[in-house]
Amino acid sequence: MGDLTVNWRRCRCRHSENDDIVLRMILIPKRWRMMPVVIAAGMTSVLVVGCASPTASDGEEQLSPILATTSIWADITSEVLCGEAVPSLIPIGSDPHTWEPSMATRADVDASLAIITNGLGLESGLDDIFDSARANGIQVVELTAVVELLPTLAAHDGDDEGDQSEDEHSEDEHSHSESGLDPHIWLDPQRVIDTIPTIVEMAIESGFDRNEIEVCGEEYSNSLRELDTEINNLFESLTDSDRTIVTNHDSLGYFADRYDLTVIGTVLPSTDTSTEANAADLAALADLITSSEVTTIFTDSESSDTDSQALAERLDINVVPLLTSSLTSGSESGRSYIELMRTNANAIHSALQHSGQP
Amino acid sequence: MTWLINPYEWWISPLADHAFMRDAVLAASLVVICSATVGTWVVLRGLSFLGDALAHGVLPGIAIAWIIGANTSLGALIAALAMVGGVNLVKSSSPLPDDASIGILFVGFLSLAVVIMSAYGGSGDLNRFLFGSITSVNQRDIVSLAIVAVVTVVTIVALHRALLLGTFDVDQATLAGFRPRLVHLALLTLIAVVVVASFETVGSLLVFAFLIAPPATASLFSRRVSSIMIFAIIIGVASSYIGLVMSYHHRSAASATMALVNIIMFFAGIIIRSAITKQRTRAALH
Repeated sequence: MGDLTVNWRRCRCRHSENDDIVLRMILIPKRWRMMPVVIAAGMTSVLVVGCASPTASDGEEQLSPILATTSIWADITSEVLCGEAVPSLIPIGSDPHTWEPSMATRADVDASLAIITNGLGLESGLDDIFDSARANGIQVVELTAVVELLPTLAAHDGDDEGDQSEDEHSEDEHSHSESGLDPHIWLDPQRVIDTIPTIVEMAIESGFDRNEIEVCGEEYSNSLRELDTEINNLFESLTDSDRTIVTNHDSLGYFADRYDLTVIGTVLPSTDTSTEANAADLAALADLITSSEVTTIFTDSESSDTDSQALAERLDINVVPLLTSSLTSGSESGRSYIELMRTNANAIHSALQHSGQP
Repeated sequence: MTWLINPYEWWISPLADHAFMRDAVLAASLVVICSATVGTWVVLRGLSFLGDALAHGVLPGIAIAWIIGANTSLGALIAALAMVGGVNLVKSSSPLPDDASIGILFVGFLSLAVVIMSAYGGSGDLNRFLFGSITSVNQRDIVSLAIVAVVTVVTIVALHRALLLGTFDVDQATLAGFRPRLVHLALLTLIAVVVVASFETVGSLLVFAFLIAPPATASLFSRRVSSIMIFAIIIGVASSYIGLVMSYHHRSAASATMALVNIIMFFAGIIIRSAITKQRTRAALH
């Protein structure tokens, strides 16, 4: 490497002073000297004019004053707001754990009245933008604050490693996603129903008509209750031995809680998709899968499932992708929250149903 | 094509309409002033790999500081200085060439950061340090970046002769009464300070792009150190501005877009340079 540098330098030494294009073109000729000043003055004047006169382009973006972070919460909020369009900040198909915002995201947030967020570290890429939004008087509603939360599998299991980090964390005041609580509350329709009064409240504060919104909120709650009953009925036929599941990342905690399933392990040891699997945990999980006769690993269609695929191949079991964090744009199955839950429930049910049989 | 057909709309109105865009451009420009002046010496002295290692070497410091609830910038600075010390230690106590000792520590620090993060479950807030928060720069960030920019420029100007002689002729530098090793250490410390000051704005994954790309582009067109620095600042500020406006119009991740524009500028520079050289050769022949 040293040699290369020397050669490069030697080679550069052959240039004459005339080669100094910057000097020749920008610095030396006298008639060019004032150029930067002229450009700067020009830009400043354009800026000043731009600031002074209200721009005509304001009407171009007709954004709803209410935003949601994920496409799932956007759909739920839109239903509660009687079909009002609610754009999601995180585009359909993106994994909220890892998505990065753009300057346009910031512009959308600044133009909104209120934002529905999940919280608990799910949208960590947006935390700074939300801090600024709060400072600007925009309502940032965290739905995980209003439902009963469950611990993550790691915190719940209380294996030695998980325990240790928990203990040290309780001393730490500003831990968010690492508080040992699972953020994936939307995968339980009952908990979504519990968030609806908060969404209604937010809408009324943002100037929506109280009577209208309360009716729509109630109607949507009823649809969700029907969905809940439908999934319950579907899962009734499962025997106790069919009710153990393994997932890619720790995302199905609330679903399992609602429909009486047991998550015995996850391939990625966290509620966050951006972590790495470790060898010891994977080996232990493989043993657990074999001994519990689990025949399927449920993965997330938005994020990488290479570890799950490899494990499934090794143990000769199935991988079934679920729509856990985002709606889908193309297919019918993930078009709305209700459709997404129905699709997931059917996929889980049919995978588990076969597990009892050879 | 709006950027050509309606230039005001594309280039100016995002800034005119939004205070956060003006703050972002200002913060990115301050980052460029720090990184381009220091980066010029990084490029000229062939320290790019060390710069890269430092940019990522701050991560374990950030992770530890974040876990124990300490100031993350302080943690990052300690990690960066530990990296500088470690590289020198490995270099002086082993027969390995520079790049091998840097590589060893680079990988060591990076994996340490990943191990710490995974042991403490989820990387949640660490995203902020990997990708920065140029979308929501506040006044405090701008003030601290401005202070670092002033300190950087003053130090670089003060050390100019020592660095110049030390880079191209170590013996003469020693004869002239400069202490090349000390100056080198000061430069490394300055790189560490610049990396630490910039990572919260542009992110620790991309701060390296700001350190290397603008000076590299500028050095294609000039061999005078001071004009490389000035040209690098102009290129860096222009790239950041273009990147931010692109991120605004096309919804691309903000700091990655800025870094990418910086790199595209470098390749455009190579094309322009070879065109100029070709034309000169032709002119010389006729």
